[in-house]
Amino acid sequence: MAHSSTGKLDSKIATLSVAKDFSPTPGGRYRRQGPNSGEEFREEVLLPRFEEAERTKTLLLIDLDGGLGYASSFLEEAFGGLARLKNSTSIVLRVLRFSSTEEPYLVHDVERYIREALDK
Amino acid sequence: MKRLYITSKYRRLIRLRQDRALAVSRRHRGLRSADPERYWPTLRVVAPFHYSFVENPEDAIRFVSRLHCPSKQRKLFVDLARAETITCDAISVLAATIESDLCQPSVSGNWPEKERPRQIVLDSGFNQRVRSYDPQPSADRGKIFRRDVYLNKVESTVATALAGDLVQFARLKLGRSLADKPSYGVLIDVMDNTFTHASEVMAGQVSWWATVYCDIERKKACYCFVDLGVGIFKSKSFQQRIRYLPITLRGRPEERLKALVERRIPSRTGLPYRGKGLPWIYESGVAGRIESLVIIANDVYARPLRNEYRSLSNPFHGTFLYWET
Repeated sequence: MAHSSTGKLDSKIATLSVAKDFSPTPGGRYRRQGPNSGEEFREEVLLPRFEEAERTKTLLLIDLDGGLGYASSFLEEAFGGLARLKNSTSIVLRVLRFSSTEEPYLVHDVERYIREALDK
Repeated sequence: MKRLYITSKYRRLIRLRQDRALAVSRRHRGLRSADPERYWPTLRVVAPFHYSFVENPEDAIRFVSRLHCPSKQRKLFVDLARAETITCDAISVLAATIESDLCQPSVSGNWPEKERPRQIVLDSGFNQRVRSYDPQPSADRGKIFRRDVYLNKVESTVATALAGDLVQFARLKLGRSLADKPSYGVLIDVMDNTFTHASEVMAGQVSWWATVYCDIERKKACYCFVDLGVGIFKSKSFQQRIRYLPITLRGRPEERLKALVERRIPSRTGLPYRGKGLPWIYESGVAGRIESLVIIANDVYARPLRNEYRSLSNPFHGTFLYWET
């Protein structure tokens, strides 16, 4: 079940599981702070998959289940950081969908980080 | 003149003076070996009757402050015998203080005499961090992890594996799967904060201790995170932020912590997306994902979920966070 407050659902959906495709133990914000950081996830995993989804006009479903949990700094740097990189919250919210049955509140948190990413 | 001193009269005088000095020195050395306590006395530090940072922070801070000895004091005895109650958070701080650079001398101590506090100390994982000549049985309900700075090599990074181990331990002991997920996030966020802000010199130069204790009777996992860095209010980042605070927040430290937790103080970077760690932890508490949140930083004690903020007469050297799930 994909949750999102914005954008239309496309029939083609690619899935990216943070726990399986990156790490079940996500870390902090920046690479210099330790392993499995939000910055590392964004650069190594999320950005290539996001650009591919943008190119092929598919939705990218981010599965947040399966790991041990998330720090706010990881989620903000990964998804808010993507919005800052693309300089647009709407493009990111249009392409990405989020799913979590284990911690449903994460979907709301991540969408808030994306929306607030470009606030001055 | 020189010739005068090599005459037999002066030689005898010089020899006499040397013999007296030698005798004084020998007497001094003899006393030292006979009574080492006279020269290197043991400082006995007695724990308060109710040793808890969560419930009795003033006495607990006074107790651990006495363990911060100058290097001249060579021996320290931690007297837990008369403690009536001890909580797991207090054991975490005790372990951190004893193992830190603040506590220079060799440390020994005793176990609490009362059964309940004795069992909590033994079960908390403290037993595995000290050497005991009289090993005691323990139920292995807790873990204490330490992350260090080794010889200028920065090791005190965000340790995902250690946080993972603590959370998995609690899951296993309490037989549950999802309740500890927010705790993993809180642990990573506070490690992140310690890495960035706790050192006076540069990022990542402060050791920290993370612990979990599984209270089987209450079915709660009690997490505690301690760093013995500069504390929130003395961190460089906070000192920079304070210039931009409204006048009402500049004076009272408890008001400042409240404003920080409630996200009313912006990040020193000026970037609105930064500085969300503590507010997110507080929001997790408000949403019921974590309970009994306690923050002690410098001279402020806070239970944000009860809206209780107060200043302390004895400052805590570092940052302390406690929560339950």
